[in-house]
Amino acid sequence: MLRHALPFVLSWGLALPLIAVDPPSAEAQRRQRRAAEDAPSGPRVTLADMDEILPRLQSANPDEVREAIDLLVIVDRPQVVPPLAELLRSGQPDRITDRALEALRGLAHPNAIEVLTEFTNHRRVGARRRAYQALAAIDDERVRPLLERGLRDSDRTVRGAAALALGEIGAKPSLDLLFHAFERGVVEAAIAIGKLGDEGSVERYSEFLGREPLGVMLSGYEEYLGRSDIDLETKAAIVDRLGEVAGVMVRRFLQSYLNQFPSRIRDQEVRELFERVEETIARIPEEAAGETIGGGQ
Amino acid sequence: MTRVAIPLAALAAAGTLTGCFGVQQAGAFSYRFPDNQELDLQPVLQAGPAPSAPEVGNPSGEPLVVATTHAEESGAVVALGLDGEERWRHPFDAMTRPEILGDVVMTSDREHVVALDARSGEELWRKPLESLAYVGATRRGDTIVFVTSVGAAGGATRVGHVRAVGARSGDARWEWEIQGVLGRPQVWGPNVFVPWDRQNIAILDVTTGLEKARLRSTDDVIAWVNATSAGLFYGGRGMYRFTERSHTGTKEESTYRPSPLPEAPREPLVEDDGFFPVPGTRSARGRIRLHYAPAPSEDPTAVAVHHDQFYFTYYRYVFAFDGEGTLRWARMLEQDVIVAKALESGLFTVGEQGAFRLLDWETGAERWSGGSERELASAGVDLGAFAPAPSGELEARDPRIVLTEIAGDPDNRLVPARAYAIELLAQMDDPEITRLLLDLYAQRHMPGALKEAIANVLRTRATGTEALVEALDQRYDYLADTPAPPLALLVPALLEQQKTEAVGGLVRHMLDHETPMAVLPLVVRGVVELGDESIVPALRSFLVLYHADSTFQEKPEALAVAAEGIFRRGGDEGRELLQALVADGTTVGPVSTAINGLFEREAQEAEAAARAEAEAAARAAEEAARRERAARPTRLSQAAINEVFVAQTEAMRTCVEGELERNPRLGQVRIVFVLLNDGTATEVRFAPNTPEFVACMEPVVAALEFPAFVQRRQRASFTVNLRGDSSEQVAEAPEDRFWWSRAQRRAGEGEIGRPWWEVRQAPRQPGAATPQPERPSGGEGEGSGEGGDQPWWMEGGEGGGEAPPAGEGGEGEGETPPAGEGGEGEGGEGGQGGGEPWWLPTE
Repeated sequence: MLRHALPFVLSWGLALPLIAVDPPSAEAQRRQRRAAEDAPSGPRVTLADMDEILPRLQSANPDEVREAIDLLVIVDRPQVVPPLAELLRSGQPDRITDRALEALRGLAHPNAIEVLTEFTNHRRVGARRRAYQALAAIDDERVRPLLERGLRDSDRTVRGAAALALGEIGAKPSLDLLFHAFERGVVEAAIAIGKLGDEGSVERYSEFLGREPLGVMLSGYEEYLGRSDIDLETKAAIVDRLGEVAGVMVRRFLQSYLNQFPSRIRDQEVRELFERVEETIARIPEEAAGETIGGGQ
Repeated sequence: MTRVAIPLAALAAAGTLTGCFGVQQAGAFSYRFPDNQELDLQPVLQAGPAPSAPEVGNPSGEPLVVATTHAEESGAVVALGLDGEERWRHPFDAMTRPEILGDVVMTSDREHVVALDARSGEELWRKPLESLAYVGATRRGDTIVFVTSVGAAGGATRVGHVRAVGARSGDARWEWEIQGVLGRPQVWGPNVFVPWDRQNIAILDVTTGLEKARLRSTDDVIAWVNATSAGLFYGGRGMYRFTERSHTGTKEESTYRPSPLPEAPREPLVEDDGFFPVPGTRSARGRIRLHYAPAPSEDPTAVAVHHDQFYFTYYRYVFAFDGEGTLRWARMLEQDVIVAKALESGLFTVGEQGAFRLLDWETGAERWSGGSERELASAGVDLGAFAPAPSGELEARDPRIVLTEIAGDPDNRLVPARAYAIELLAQMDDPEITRLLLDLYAQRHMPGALKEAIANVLRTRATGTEALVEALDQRYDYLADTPAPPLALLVPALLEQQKTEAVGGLVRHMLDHETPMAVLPLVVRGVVELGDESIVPALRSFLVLYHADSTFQEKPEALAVAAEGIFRRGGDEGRELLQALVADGTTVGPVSTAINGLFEREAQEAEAAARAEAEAAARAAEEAARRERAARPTRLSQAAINEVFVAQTEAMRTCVEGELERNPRLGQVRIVFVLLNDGTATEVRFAPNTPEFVACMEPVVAALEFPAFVQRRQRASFTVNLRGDSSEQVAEAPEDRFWWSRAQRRAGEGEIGRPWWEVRQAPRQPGAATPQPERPSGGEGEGSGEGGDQPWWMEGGEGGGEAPPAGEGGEGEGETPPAGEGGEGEGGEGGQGGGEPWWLPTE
């Protein structure tokens, strides 16, 4: 079966991961699967091919192992998780480990939580980061506390990945912890806070203005402003607050925000916000001083 | 050493001195002067003042501090009351600490020794230093004796100058200059004691300057002399009291007390080194000191100290110890102590910022405080028996807390004393101390030297060790700002104390990525050494997970230790895993190398062990052989030979029975041979020598194993008389066991023909042709014997020089086989003539 499947995969350009150096992202893998599923004809890799794929995970040839991992991703069934977990636990070179973690991320099956949890304790930062990212892809209530633990990691990038992941999964109960992490210098928490915080959290977030780099603060504000569940009054308050800060960076930020409004605004309140943004921008000189407030660049 | 005493007359003549002095003809600092003379020292001792309470000596009658100032436009010497009020001020850049000698204050600048009026500070007189350094002065009555010297720290120039002058006038009384170094003098009674060349104390008459006696230490260094109201003391690191025992010149026989704190940092002395000036400027010298308050004692062997207490000052820290060196209390002061004086009431300290304190001797609490805020550099004190009553109840602070504060004090100038505080802390049995030490270790700014000190003491602590195990529960947490536990500290201590209960915590840290890479090998080592077989799964997981990971490419030590643990405790399964990992091409090279090394090392060790075992066996064999050789007889006795034959009785019986059947009248069987010293039988001859008998017996004899012996070879024989005379049986054995017994029994049962013992050898008939055994050497063949030739086996008794049958002569040790000829005309069995055969019972 596999012998038939492989030429098919190759013909659809899915062989790229087999030779690619960088592991595919979760989204890319999902696209792969969709492409494979949408293929008009020809044999597909299915569970029935597992017997042929799994021995290749033991191959001494790393390319063959990677190929087998990718095929398991295409199979995309919960049954492929245990072999991948076993592969990971058996200790692999970095690239295989990373590939397998990416595969689990793409699969996003809850039965991968256990092995991914183990890998959040891996000594290699890249493996830990991928493990957190893979966990974030899984829709399971056990994930949030695990991601929160990632905020306590000694590595900055792991903490950042965990913070972003918490924002991605909509972990509103983690908001306080994200604020704490933000206070402790986890700048990625700003985005997560912007995604998760309610109107009441904006004021708390704004207290960091002047203490945290402006660019970091804007990343959080951008999330707040982009959300439909935040009322216009709060957004107007954010614009006003940024107007007080002023500076070129804020001007550009607001300009960019302005561009997101539809060309024709029917809603009166939205139009008022639009005009408020325009006014604020107008108040900021194009090359204004004071742009470095809060260490912004 | 050359010492030159320069009489004043000569000096004056040479123009080296100014002024007019009385002439001293002789008698000081001469190398010919006899030292340690009991008769000389006794009057000095008797002339010493009786012990008394210390008194204030300055004219105000009140305690006084005279200090040099610091950080002002120009230097000054100031006299301060204990309230800190300035009594007088004299602008002066003092280079040495002021000394209060009654109504005179002595100090010096770079060029002169200067005397100030203790009442007003006005200068009374000055004397040029003449390139020497002022080291100190002492006073008796209106005479001040001061010493200037140079060379104590080494160098080519070594000059000492001692001068006696009028206390207020500066008028010269006498002086001596020597080529050697002199120390700070001390007046005791009518004499002045001058330390000299670090080994001697010249005892001069204050009035005349003549040397009256001399002390010399034969096994110690003398660095100082201190005359107190309780007596005169001198010494180096230890303390001597001047008594009638001092003339011995030895530590053991003098009145001596060793340093109470030999382990204290910077090896502090109980007095300032008298051969060096005490600086009048801010200096480390003098700020690290031991202090004691001498107490009078009737016991000539005792160096008594008030409360048996010593104080150790180290800048801002004060430690109080008993005479055994056990800590009583400790204090951390706000100001560096520039001078301290031990009193019966406690320790009086002068702080660098002008604070005066009296620390209660018992509690260390502040019993009194005074002074005023001013920058001081050095000070001399005249306190008498200052002992103010405390204003309230004095509370002692817990030494654990104080020592912890000292250890954690951020003042990094004082690291040695902080390390000392850690050592003192660790000497306490309180289990809580271990936790305190761990907390100290965890302090972010703790210097490395102190961390090392903590690590060292924790390894040896016997109490509170559960805190070490509990400390493993701590885990790194970025948000909580919690660091990883101090594993570099904990693991060696846990290993040292074999805390097997720590294995669980260590495994957790082994698997925790927050464990720093630098300490990970140590953690894994802890798991391996403290754990048993139960740790193997964790080690396996760890090793397998990372065996191909780049994390350990550069630093494979932790994996190597894990592999060692599996190798040692994992059994066959573990070894199979290790071999599989080596075979796995993805295993990082250094890890494979480490695993291979384990197997190779084991093979080498096994090889070495086998080699050692073989060598030991060879040595043992050699030794056994040597003993066996030593135990060998010079030659074998007949009994020993018989014993060998007895072991082959069954085989021989068959041959003899066969021969008896052929020759029922056979009376005797005899085997004669030569034994080599390795036990080999050669040149064997049989009688009878019928071919059948010889053929039968040869393999029997060949199978015999004789013991080795020393002599190169010996002739031997074995004879069996087949006749009834049991006394002829050479080989004795239990009757029912041996062939003759059985032969007898079988004969009785009719199994064989006529029993041999019933056969009475008939006298040989002349001419009768009785078949005779062939002479072994003759080889004529069966039945060729003739009547005139007595068979060879009949001619002698036992071979080998053993007792021959009765009536026969022995053959001796000759190697010649028995000869058939030369007999007495007797034939063999049934032979005739000549009389009875030798085997017949004698009448």
